Amino acid sequence: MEDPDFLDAAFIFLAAAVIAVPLFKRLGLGSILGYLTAGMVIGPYGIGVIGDVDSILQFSEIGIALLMFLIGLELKPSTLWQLRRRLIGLGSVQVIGSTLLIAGLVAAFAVPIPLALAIGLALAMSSTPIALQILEEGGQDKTSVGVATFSVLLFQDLAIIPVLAVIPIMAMEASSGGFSLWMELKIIGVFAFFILSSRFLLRPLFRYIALTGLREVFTSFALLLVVGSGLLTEQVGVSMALGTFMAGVLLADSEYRHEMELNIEPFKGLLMGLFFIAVGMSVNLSLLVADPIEIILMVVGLIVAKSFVLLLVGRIANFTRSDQVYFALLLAPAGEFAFVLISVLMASAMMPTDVGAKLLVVASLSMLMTPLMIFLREFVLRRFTKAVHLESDVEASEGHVIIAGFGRFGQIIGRLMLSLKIPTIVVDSNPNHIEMLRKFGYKVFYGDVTRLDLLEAAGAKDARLLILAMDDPAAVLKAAELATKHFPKLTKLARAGTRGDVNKLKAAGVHHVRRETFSSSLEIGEAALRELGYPAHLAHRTTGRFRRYDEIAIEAVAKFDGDEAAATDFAKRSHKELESLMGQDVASQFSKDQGW
Amino acid sequence: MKNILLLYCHPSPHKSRYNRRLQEVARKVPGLKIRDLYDLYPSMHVDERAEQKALVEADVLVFQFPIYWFSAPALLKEWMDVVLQHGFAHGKDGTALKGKKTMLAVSTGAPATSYQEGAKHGAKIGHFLLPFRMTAEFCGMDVGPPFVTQGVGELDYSEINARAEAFIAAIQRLAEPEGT
Repeated sequence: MEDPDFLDAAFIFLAAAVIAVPLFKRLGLGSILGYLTAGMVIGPYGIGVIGDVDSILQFSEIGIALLMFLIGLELKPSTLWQLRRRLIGLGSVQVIGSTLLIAGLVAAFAVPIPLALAIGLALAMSSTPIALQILEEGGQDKTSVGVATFSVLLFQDLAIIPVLAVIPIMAMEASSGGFSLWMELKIIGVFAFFILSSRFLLRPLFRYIALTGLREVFTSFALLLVVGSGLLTEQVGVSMALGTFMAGVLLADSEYRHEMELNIEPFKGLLMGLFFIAVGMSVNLSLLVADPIEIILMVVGLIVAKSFVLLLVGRIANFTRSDQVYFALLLAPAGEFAFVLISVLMASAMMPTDVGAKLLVVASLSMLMTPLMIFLREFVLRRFTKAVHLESDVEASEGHVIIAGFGRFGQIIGRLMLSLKIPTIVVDSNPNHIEMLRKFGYKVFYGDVTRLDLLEAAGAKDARLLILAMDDPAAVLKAAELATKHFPKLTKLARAGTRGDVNKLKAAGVHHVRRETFSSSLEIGEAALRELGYPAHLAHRTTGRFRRYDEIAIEAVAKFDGDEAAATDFAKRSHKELESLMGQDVASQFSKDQGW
Repeated sequence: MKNILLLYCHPSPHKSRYNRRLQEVARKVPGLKIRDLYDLYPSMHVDERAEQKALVEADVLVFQFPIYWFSAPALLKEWMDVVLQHGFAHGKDGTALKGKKTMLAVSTGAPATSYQEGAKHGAKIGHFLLPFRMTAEFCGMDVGPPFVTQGVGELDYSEINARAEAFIAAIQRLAEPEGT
């Protein structure tokens, strides 16, 4: 198998990603599975256009380094400090529990104890990029499960330091100075260098580079920083990911943070994709085909054993049942550390090569399972909450209020209604969302109000009001049209995104339309006027007048329905008109000192 | 020392040098608290609990406002409607304001000569203050003579300063009547 040159390889990777990822996303299977599958197809065990998996895996690890750096940027040292109890508590239970359980199971097959322990350690670790990507795509990265998952992953990154040091010792069965005082000193030295340079060296350097005004130099510098800090920590035996994470944390309060995020983000995305492809490529399908039952049993055994420990950890962390399962599924499969550790073990001759190869297949297959299992859970959850909903809608009283969409927008409306004990039915289409709201004691039903049967089930026929507060403007419009068509007498209120949405919703028969950000923006505007010296009441009336003029202007645009050019032209003119109207009002407010 | 509460109700403070000056000097009076109603409630949603609490804590009440259309600015009427509740300011147990010394401090743009029978404004200023005086008496307050400044637009700075001093003197007379 001749390896293609760089450009050919780049073309193959990009094409595979562009074909597979949108397709899988469309099917609702998530982007990771798309990358993994693409990797399996183009890899040495698929059609074999790419042969050298190891070097690609190694190269794409920069993606993980960038990911960890970006996560670090979001976390101030103080926030990290607040995580310490979860990090050490949950993390140590997970790592030690899983290691011992797996080692016990392995030892039952007459594997010597030291090797069994090493295998346990290798497989106890989870995949940081896969888990974090899933959390982010599901919008769960800031929830308590998200934070706990991240804490455990971070602990694993920390735990890997002594593990990488100990395994060679176990392999040689002699102390070759692996984890010595000298090494600890080196690690402390590197981190001290990080802290000092983030305080005194980087700020002037950033300013110097930003002053050049060359965007690409800034990008290069940001990447250099990440790669450099990764390499430096790797030198002293700490994983690259942990090093770049620390670098990120130390730069979290830098004024160049957002600029760095912006510049690194696309590289991270590309390289993470490459990493997932590389994982997909490394699944040794021939071994799987040779002995499918044994491999599958090992994968299932691994996931079941680790889930058992993780469910326990989730219980300690006081998660809901459904969150416990989510947490377990995210972390149960093996991670990229398994590749590293198993390779080290194989190299040290402590592990027979055939066992190592099998374990590598098990590890990569289990990683492949993560997005699949999460998808299945979501599917089951949807079905399950649907059943709950269909059961409970019977109690939908007449004359109630239906609120569709219980995000930040709908929640405010809902809290107002509930505080007045107005009978209210809340419907949301995000299962994760619903689970969290239930924890806070809200009764929220799963459902998509752009479907007629759901509207009927929510009692739209007898409801007083339908409030459409979903995030997606297209869904709001669709639901409004549907409700007008089938329940003409129902009063509808809706949240609009843009000015254009206002007229579309009104045309769709919505009685009250409000732009989602307009009122709060005006309130900030009013506060600004007050700070600029406007008396409070005048500031209030002035912003009120602005609101009136603006709403008139939106209504006027409605008559250009569809004619973009005319509408834009009109918008420009009405903008001028607004300026002169407001100007006149201000002039009359401040003309001479005529008061008494 | 008595607690004095100055309720200031001016919708266009930026237009009135006179009322601004009165506010400036009043701020220096020890024991005097100012509630600027248009600043507190620009949207006219008066917080009746907060207002009632402030009233209860005060011994002396001064209402400072310009005459708009033969009456007070709209927010003061709203304030009266929502704050002076039955059971608080009047009615069987509504004795919270009983016996409190009260003064109206009002200003008009037109001169006193215009506030006469047969002149443009048709009657003396006291005539138009009657609803406020009656409201206060209805709530059992002890209403003193009003502090009235007319023809405010014609006043120069020294005259405004003199009126401001007189305003403070009137407040102090109200708070510490001679012989106590």
